Amino acid sequence: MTFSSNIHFRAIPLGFLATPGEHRIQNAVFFKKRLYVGVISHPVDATTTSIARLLRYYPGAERWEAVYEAVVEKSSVLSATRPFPLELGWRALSIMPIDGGTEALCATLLSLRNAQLIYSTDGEHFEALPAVDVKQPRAAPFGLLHPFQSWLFATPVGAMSDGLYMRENGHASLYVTRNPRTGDWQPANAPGFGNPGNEVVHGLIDFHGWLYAAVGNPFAGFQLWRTQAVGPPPFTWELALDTGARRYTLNPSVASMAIFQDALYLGTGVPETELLSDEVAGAEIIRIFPDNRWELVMGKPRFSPIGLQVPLSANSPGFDDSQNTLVAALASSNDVLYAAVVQRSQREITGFQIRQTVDGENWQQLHSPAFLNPCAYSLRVLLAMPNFLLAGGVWKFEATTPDPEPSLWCFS
Amino acid sequence: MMQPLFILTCMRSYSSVVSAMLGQHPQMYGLPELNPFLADTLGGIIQKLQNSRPQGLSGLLRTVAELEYQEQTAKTVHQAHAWFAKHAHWPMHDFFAYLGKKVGARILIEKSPTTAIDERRLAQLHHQFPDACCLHLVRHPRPTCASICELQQKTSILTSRRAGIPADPEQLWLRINSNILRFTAQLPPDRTLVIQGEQLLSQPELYLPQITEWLDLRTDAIAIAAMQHPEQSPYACLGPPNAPFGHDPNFLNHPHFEKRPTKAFRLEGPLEWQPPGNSGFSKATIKVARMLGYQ
Repeated sequence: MTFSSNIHFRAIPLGFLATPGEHRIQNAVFFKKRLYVGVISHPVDATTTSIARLLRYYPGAERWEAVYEAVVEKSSVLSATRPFPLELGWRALSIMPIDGGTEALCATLLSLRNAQLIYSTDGEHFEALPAVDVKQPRAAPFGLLHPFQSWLFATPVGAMSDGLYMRENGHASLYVTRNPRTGDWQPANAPGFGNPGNEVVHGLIDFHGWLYAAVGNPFAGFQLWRTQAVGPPPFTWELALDTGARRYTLNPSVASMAIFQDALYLGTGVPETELLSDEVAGAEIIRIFPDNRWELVMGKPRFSPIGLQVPLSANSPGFDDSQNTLVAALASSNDVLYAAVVQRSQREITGFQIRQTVDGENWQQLHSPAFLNPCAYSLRVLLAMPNFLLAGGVWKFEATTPDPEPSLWCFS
Repeated sequence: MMQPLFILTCMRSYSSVVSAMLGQHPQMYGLPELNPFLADTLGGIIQKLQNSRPQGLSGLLRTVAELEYQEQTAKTVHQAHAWFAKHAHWPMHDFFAYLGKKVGARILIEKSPTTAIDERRLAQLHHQFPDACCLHLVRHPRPTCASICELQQKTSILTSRRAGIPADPEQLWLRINSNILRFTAQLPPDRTLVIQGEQLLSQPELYLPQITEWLDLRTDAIAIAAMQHPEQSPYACLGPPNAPFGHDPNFLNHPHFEKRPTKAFRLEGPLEWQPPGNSGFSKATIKVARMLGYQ
């Protein structure tokens, strides 16, 4: 069932993003009681360079500061040279446990000439780890970072791309290290998990003692693999779900994952960072349990090896709107699961919405006047904490746009 | 009238055995091929079949012989002809209402492959039966096309006399399944499901209960066991000489069901029914086949 509710989302303006152009909030994470947000800005002015900024927010003081800035190439350069067919900028922010029970903030910045992995134990001082050779797939810069057990897992951007790069450079692969500062990365899986159709690793999440990898396969539908990372790498992986949960190529990839009430929720769709094929269907939400049983939460009814799957929410794909082709983000706090749903077609993004559920099955759409800002183009990031939700995405505006005010949205 | 179930499918995709199996459920009734959307009325359908494919009349004639006259003999088929002459003005909806009264509280199942060849027929289906459920029955294009090709070769003389060059089997498979996908995409999601014939026939104990659950029918062991005896259907044998068919002749000669292990076919590779060195299935066919779960 679907309900809707008007919610007051408070805007937290990002003062650093005043330049006319496109500003993409790519990820966000809390570290040392501060909010870190990775943003890439592409100015309208073609002569102005694009900037990747790591911003830090002081919640009490409501103040932002830029803690790291780097010049990156414009999208036009990207399309001309195309060494990476996915967008540049901050591709990962991750908190990694380190010796002594403390944590470090790891971030990856993807740029054609300045691919970097930066590392900070205090959030103040960032150490840039040695540059990697972007021409070598095995050493290509990383697009995903995820700590699990005492390992840091990473996905080369080549294994996160749209397939064109992959077909020339290898298949979905993961690497691990005990210490990213050493640069000693080892393969964590067989290339493509043994399947040449597995081109992409879209997400990593740990659940019930397993690390799950969401693997995109445009030829047969997404797969979900898991490992306990026992023994030396490469590890033994187990297939948890395949064939796009029996929707085949209409579920080519999982774009988002979250754990909620003892189940792993999967949101389908092709992430905005990748090219879209001509076959686009309404997105689905699927949940999987530790024993690999799965249920259709929202989507198309179908037969399956574990029984008839009928959407528990009674919502057809895209929450009854086939234009909603992407569940861009899922995030859960203690009691609530949120979903960022995006209307993505081959040419453009035409809308977005946030939904919430307290039981995983009955979803409520959250309406807010803030979402009506014409400069708010898309939604990419949800960060759920016990008493509030942060949401951020892509802002586009011209020099003549009155008061565009790119912001994060906060709902408490 | 209970809403009928339409099996939408390409020819040579197990529709005869699947339809007969489903029809053995105590709450369903499997019909032979009625070719229900060839025209607007029974008279129009009969005329079209008489002109183009007289053997296609068998399903209609056997159905009326069985349900109106309680047996399928040359005599009752003759009577059925007269019955159709009397009811030639009926649209298919009225004919189904009549059949529904005859079979009682059971869901009628119709499976004619002619329905999905033309999108206008699918539109007619929706017009006449807006609340019906549709089961999209699919089979891997490689064995399907090989089987169509084999059938075309067997009937090549008749086919060439009637309709010129036989249709390319791959184009048939692609057109029919694309038509069905486009049509079912417009239906409420809970009223249409897709099933691979290979999966159903290799694991009936797994998939038959799912079909009956979807249709909100009995799922108990007795009902499911009955469905594994398609030979019990009154149409699972050759009919009288003046209406011998109504289903695939292979099925009519061998109607007993045996589990069929799934054979591995690939989309890639040259096509056995084409001249050597051909480049295999088109990109369009591969794309649709992958959407349906084939590799």
